Amino acid sequence: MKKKIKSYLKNPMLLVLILVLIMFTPQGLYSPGQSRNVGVVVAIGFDSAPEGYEVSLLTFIPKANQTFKEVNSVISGKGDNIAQAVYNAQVALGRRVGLSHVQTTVISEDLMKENVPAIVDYLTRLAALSSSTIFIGTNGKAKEVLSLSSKLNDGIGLDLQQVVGFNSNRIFPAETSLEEFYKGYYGRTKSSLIGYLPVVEGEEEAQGAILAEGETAGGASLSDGGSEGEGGSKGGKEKAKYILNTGQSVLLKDGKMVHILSLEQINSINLLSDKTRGQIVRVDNAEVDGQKHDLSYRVREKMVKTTTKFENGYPVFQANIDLGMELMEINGEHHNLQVRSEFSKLTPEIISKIEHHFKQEFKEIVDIIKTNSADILGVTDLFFKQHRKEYLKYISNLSGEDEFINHVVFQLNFNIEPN
Amino acid sequence: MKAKISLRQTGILTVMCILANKLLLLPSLLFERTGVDGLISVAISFAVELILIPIFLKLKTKHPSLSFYEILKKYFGVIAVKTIFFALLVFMFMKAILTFGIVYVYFKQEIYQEEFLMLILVCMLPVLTHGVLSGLRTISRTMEFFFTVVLVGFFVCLLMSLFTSVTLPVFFVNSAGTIFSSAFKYFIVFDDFLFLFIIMDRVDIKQGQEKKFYFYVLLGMFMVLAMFFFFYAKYPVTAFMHDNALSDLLVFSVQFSAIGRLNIIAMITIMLITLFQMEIFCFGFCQCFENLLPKLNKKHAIALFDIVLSLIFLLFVGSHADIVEAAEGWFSIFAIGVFVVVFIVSLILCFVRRKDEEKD
Repeated sequence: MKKKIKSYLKNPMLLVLILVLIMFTPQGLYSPGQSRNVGVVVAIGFDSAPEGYEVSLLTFIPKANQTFKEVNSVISGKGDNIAQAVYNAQVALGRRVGLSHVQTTVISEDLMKENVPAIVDYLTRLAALSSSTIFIGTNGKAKEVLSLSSKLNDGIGLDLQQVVGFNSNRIFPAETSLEEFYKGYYGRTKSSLIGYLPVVEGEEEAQGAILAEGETAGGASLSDGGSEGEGGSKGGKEKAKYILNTGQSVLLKDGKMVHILSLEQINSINLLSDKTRGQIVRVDNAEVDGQKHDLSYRVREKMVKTTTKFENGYPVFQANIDLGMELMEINGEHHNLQVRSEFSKLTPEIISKIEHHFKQEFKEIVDIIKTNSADILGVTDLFFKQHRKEYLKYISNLSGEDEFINHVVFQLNFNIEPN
Repeated sequence: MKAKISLRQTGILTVMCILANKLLLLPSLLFERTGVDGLISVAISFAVELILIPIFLKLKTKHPSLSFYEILKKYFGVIAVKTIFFALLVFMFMKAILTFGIVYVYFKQEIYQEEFLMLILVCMLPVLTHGVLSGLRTISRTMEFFFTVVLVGFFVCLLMSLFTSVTLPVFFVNSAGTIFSSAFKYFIVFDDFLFLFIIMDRVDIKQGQEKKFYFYVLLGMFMVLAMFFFFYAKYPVTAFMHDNALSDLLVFSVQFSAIGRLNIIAMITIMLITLFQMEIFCFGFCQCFENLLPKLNKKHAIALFDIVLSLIFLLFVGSHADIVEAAEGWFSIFAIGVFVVVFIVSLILCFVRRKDEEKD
């Protein structure tokens, strides 16, 4: 037995292992679990405050329970800069702020009109985020969105990330993330598009998917040199508030909000994207089987080929768009109508009206882009990649690269077929 | 006669050397200077250092059983060889500092968020020490065993980036002068083949096997260039914000309801690669030490290495800024100097007649 132990101890790695165990095991056993020291933040919101900024943290509190219900709480802190506000929130939370699980970043409209990169500089510089977060704007307070989002799960079992994920996959031309925001900001055109989720008051019958209903959450403790916490609803019920998902986006130029784009305007941008489909087009007063009807079509298939060229000294962007349209619905009197779901009727009149609809909507978005010199279509980049010499020569005569989009001539050619 | 390592093991060692210091911070540093043309700067640096390979193979063929130290001593004398080997010793130590420093900051960002230097030193140094003391065959066999794991992990990181939006980078936006100067700004992270000269007598490369060796060299270079390409394709504008290139290829895309924390794949790959690289640089350090001070042995060398490394990190180095400042400053100048000296000396040795031939 002694010989065996001696032979084992001759192996230096075994001695090292024993030493490491002796050094670290007591420390490991004595230390409390990390969940006691670190607050798991799943969403972060930025608002303006009289003191400067208010940072709200939607924290997940690990708690033993018999249901699978997550316990979330919104904790906020104020400070004259973001780092100070986060620090004060940390003090209020009573734990170190762990940002590795942050999935959503919300910024209020007030701050979007200021300088967004300066606000989120803390997140990128600290590099504590393990991945790019969803980045959205809201009309009111970001804190409200976080409070209401924690009720989403309780109410209808849906979380904010899934909702925004739907928008990102189905509606927005690109994912609405911090990374995409920076891609646009540091890109040639300094333009970005991020999602927008407004909070509305008492509009339960308003158009749009109403997602969460609740009073603004109280119980958010403030830490500002020991100032008292903000209470919940005191002395009477506040009006119910709702998160409203209408597929809107915020257009940012040079890191500042310049326009809020509606769902229809977003769909116009998506016209040039192969990936986004399912858009509904309404054609009014079209003749079907000898009678006038209002028709609804859906974009079932889409193929887009874009070319760029310089023609007569002007940059021309040409898009050949092949659309497969599916008849969804016919409104009006149906007595004389043969209802056959397998036939989508596309008369020249209907095709012309659909084309007109798309061109009209596309013109609207191009006007917005040109007014704000915010090329989110990526046309400027395309010209740089495909015609670098001519592009550089062209912009040398302009005051800046931003102006280039104002000179671009857009040509859309449609080939619309039933699908 | 010292035990030799096979051609495959030599090739794997070379791949690990090529991957050193290029997988995390370098892509974003180069992007700051030359944008996506950083890829071209890397290709230029590889082309420059590749000239050492045929010289090494020629020298190996000419003196199959002699070490580089012995060859230099025979033709240039003791003082010259001691100077060169001292420079190589310092070079190996610099590479070790860079490798450890960059990876330490990476793991601090990804996992610990706080300083954990003592923990990593206590866990890593014994393994490193044991590996080096066990010898070159042991560490190269270990690398051979894990090589497939490293390759799979590496290429998974690259291929996962294809599930997000990638755009073909637009090259040659910068002037040739900027691209060339960028190639040498961080030359300390190159100079990958000097280790081969240190272990020249331990390498078993027979005549006719050169093509297989070149395969491993080109594989390593291809891996680095592919990583740069994918990184710049994924982050054509924001690459300067991503300090952990291989890891950020996996993350920084929002995959809704998908598997989270996929960066564990990158972490394991980087951990294995770092351990092997540290073993290589430590072995190189010890080998140079033994040649410089023949009366002392490897145990003294490794003890010195461990103590000095620990002291440097405990007292001086803590952040990326310290490491980058050193790397772009005198580290790179020194690396260029060592490269030039070894190149010239080796080239001369290739053409000079063997002293035992002269006697005949």
